[in-house]
Amino acid sequence: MLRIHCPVCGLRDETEFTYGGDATMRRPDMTESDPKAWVDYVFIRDNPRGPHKEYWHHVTGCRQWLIVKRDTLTHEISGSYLAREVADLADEVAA
Amino acid sequence: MPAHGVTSDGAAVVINETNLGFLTQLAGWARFSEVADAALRAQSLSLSENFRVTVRRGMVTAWRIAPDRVLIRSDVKLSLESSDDLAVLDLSEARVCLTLEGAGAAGLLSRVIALDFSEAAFPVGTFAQTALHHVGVLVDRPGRDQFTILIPTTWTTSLIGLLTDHLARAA
Amino acid sequence: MTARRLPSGGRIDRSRTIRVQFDGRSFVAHPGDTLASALLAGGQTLLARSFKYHRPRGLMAAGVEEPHALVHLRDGNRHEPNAQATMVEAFDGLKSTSQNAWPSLQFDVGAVNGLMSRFFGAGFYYKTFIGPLKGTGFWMFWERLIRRAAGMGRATTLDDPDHYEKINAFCDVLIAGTGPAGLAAALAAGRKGENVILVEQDHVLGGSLLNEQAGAPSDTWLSHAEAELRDLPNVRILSRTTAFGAYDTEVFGLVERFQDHVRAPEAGKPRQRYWLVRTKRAILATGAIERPMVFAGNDVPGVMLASAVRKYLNRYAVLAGKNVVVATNNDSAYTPALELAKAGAKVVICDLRRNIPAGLADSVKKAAIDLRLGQAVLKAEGGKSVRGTYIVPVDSNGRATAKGTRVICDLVAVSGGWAPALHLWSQRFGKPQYHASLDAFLPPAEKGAFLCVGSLAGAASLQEALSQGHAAGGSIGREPSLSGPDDFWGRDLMPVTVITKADGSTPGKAFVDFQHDVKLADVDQAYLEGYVSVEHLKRYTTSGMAADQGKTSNLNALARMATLRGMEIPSVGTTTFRPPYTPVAIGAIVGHDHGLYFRPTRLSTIHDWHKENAAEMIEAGAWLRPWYYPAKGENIRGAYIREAAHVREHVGIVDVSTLGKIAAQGPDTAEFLNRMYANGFKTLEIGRLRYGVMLREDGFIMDDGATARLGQNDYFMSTTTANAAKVLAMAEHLLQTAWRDLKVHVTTVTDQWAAIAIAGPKSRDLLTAVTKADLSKETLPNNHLAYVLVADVPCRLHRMSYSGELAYELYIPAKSGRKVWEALVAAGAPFNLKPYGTEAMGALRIEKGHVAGAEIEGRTTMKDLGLEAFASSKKPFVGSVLRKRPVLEDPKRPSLVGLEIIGNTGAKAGSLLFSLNGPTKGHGEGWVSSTTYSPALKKNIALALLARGPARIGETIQVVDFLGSQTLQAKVVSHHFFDPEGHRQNG
Repeated sequence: MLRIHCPVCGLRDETEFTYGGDATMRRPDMTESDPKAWVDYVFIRDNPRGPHKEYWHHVTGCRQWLIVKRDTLTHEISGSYLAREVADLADEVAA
Repeated sequence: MPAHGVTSDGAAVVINETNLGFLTQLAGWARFSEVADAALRAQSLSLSENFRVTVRRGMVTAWRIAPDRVLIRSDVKLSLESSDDLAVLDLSEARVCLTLEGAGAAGLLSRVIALDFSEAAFPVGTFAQTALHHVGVLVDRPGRDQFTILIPTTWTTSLIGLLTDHLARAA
Repeated sequence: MTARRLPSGGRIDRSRTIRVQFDGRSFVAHPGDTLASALLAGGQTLLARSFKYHRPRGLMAAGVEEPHALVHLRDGNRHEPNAQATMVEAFDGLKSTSQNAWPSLQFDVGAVNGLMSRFFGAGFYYKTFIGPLKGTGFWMFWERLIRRAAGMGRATTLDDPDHYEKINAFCDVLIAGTGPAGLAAALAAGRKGENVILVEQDHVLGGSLLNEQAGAPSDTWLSHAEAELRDLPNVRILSRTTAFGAYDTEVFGLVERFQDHVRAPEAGKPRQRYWLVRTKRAILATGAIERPMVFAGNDVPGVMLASAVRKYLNRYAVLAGKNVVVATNNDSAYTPALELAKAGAKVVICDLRRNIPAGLADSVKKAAIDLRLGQAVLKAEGGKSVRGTYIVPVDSNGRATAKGTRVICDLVAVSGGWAPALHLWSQRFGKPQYHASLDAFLPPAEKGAFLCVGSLAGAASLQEALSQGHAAGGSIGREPSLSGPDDFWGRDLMPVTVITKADGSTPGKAFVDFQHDVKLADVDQAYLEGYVSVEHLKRYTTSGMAADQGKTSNLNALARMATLRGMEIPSVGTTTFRPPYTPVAIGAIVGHDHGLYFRPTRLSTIHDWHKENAAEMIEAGAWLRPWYYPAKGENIRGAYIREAAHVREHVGIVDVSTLGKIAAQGPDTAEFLNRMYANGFKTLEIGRLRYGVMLREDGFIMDDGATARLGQNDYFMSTTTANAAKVLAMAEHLLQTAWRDLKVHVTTVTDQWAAIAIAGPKSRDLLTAVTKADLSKETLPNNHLAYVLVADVPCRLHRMSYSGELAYELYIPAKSGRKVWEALVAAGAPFNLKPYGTEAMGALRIEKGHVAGAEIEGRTTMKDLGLEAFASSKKPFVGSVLRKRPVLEDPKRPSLVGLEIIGNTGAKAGSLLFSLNGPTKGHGEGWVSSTTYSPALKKNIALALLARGPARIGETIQVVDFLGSQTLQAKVVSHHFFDPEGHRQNG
């Protein structure tokens, strides 16, 4: 089991959250009509071994979506942020 | 209700369902702090910066449940209107209020909720949103041996059953 | 073997006598005994039959590593298999029986397996059952016989009468083990004020200190340390508790055997408690497990670990034998040897080493012990008890160099070195480091939030263990000081544990893994057949895969493979330990979460009325919903057909409180809905409703439902029961990430509103009577809403139809749900109102051709379901680009049609569709999604997805249910079976 820090609620058991997938993906703009952009966003994933950024949803807590920096190899969590407060998702998650 | 009993450690607990009164959610956007604070000040309350501290004045209680949301319990219906900067939502029917009292209250909650109920970690006057048997609930601690739990209405029967099952088995 | 209880000594309470039973025989014991020590004191040396060969087995160990002495405990509904006799506290009236033996432990028919051992060797299962004879039937026949012959204990099928609890706990530091290192750590951390949870699997604290002779100097320190710890309010001591699992982010699983040491739990007390502990840091002081040697007959009762012999002697005052051969490759066996001699045993030591420290040699000489250096036990002789050993001089590889001598004995005390108990560390971090000088795997002293101390960390003396513990705890207070025997196993150890003849073979079965009966020859065979990696070795031979996870076998198996491959142990590697460290009862993990509380149940606020009115309920996700309301003697078919027909004729009500309801609020909500739904929402006026279809990002349909506009910025979305949580989570995700430009809030209001659907030609009349409102077609047309009072409860009335009848949905403040339902029922008599359940609701919507969960199942598109007309081409929405992928536009895709089944038998959902004259093989051309008898059409009908469906209307096809071997014929028709023009619902 993981313990995940929620910026609103504090450190909580993983069981309070649901996993929301790769947070390094940036959703294309609503007006984007190129299928390739959408295929990349929906289907193409790197599946890195090591540091990664993931969405986690604090469903039984404050219902905020978080971006969690997690090492997929060691499960070490090095940071978590409210997705809404990450100024520009693409820039922030690239860091 | 009320259900009297002990935990398996022998500590006494009383579980009771109490009248929730009115429950109102205020939600907003960029100007949330300002607008919600103004709305709360009309109730002699203020908007807490802190997501764990309960703000209470008389019969009105406010919990900052998210950066842009506050939940208010009151004994009379609040006269608040939605605007382009504030969304007012009545949730009075959506929660049932349960109280747990007694020396075993924290111990009983430790058996069903993955939170530290020591006074250092969960001081009197604070609250938490968490899972009780997979269901999202709000737990408030108005006194050392006193907890208030807001449970979504349709889960209430099942969760009260789980709590009283603990007392029944420990009897 | 002639074990007996000594007249004095030990750490047992001789003032009280209790009795325990084994296979019907009664044994005298004292509080402080284990079942094992009581049986040994009573001379019972045969305790079990082995897993595969049914060989006689006795005690090898005195603790958690015991591989042989698994017994049944208690009887009736508290019967429990596979208990380690060494870990069971003796209590008065304790009943135990042997397992895996028939007809008796003394005479076991299964022992014939031993004669067939060449068939039961490594890879037996693979070779016999995966090969030319493979086939499920063959395997299933033999599996039953094999499992019966080769097995562990028998579980009871009766309900467990006891209860179990789960407790969530939090601390600053969790300390596993209360030996000297663990206690020193707890003292320092406790004094520092940290919240400490101190875990001990034994019922008393002290760990290895309890193996010292009673009255040893360490006893005073131990009692002071315990007293101080018990006085510290910030230290919680959990004895009879095993830390069995170490998980990510410093979460530990503990099992507390709270009431296992009594005949039956006290009233109200759980038998066991599962503690899930979240700690900031952990100090592991779990000690080390002595390593056996591998030689012929090393499993014969009377061959024991030297440390176990010492523990029985000093802790339980049981002298396990009179004539003892001590076989060792290190210093640690000398302390037990000397103590055994002092207790009156005749002792021979054979030490693989040619040289030993002078001090040891001196004390051995003084004690008149026969010391044989450079020698080892090649074979232990005996059947149900050891009778003697054959001792040979050996070379540096453990091979005999000359003929040996026979030594008569009744006990062989073995030490092949020690293996630190690093299981918890390994569960958390994986592979430990091999230390050649210790011939052992050790965890690093510090990694992450874990500190390892004491024997686990290779401490060379009692003082070093204390110092390590003290430092790990935070060095608060005076460092404890104690001196112990100078017999560190790692100092001059000779890393050889396998003793063979000159040719490398053993004169008889030599066991590597005792619990799974894995022999040295099995490791050799695995090597010969190419299973040389440790992971293959483990699985091919099953070494280390028994309930004890190889606590005494792993290193010896690795060492043998390393020798065979001519490699060093680190190059061969080791496997990783997984939780649990020791077996844990499922009941303890489950706690209260079973039966009614396996998962929480969601109930409509009208639920009690349904129950009181004899509704049959059905699970829908977490909800319980009324399925049908049977009249006396009526079955489900009779009931739903009657209920559905009644709705078309008169009026019915159904509880639809389970619908997902979402409040969407804010100035940009219209734009939000416009993006969420495939159809347009910008023009929805206040007081109006609109049906919407929602896609996933990948272009498939996610959900559908109606949205009401309640105010300028206030909307009320409804979702299907099944998808409520998914839709809300997706909306929250988009609003908190990609759509932060929108000023919208979404909040679940599923619990705020109870909902009742009122359907049937008389629904308007009923509602008019109840609300006294003008609900005429002109005032409240379809897709409009009105605010009404029912029994003084302010409600919202949506006019919309799912059944195809004139119908409404009434939204009621949840806590008044039952009151309003009853008001409808009371007012309904003149209109012949009847409640109906989900089964009739399903029949009505199938007649009408409405899609539901069986059609919106994650693989269907709007086009597939005939909903393409709803898709707006004027705006982008979630999934609008990807739904146009060529593969999803393929006209050959199965699409929605209706089926009229020919004949009197209905189709089964999931049946496959085939052309009338084609072969009925493969996946077919489509499938039946929903099926019902239609009272309106007086026919069996179904909704189905059929390749090129709409183009095939009029065709007759085959409907095949391969599971039920049913083949039907059906006519393909439009899925709008009933009132396709919608006259009834728009009336």
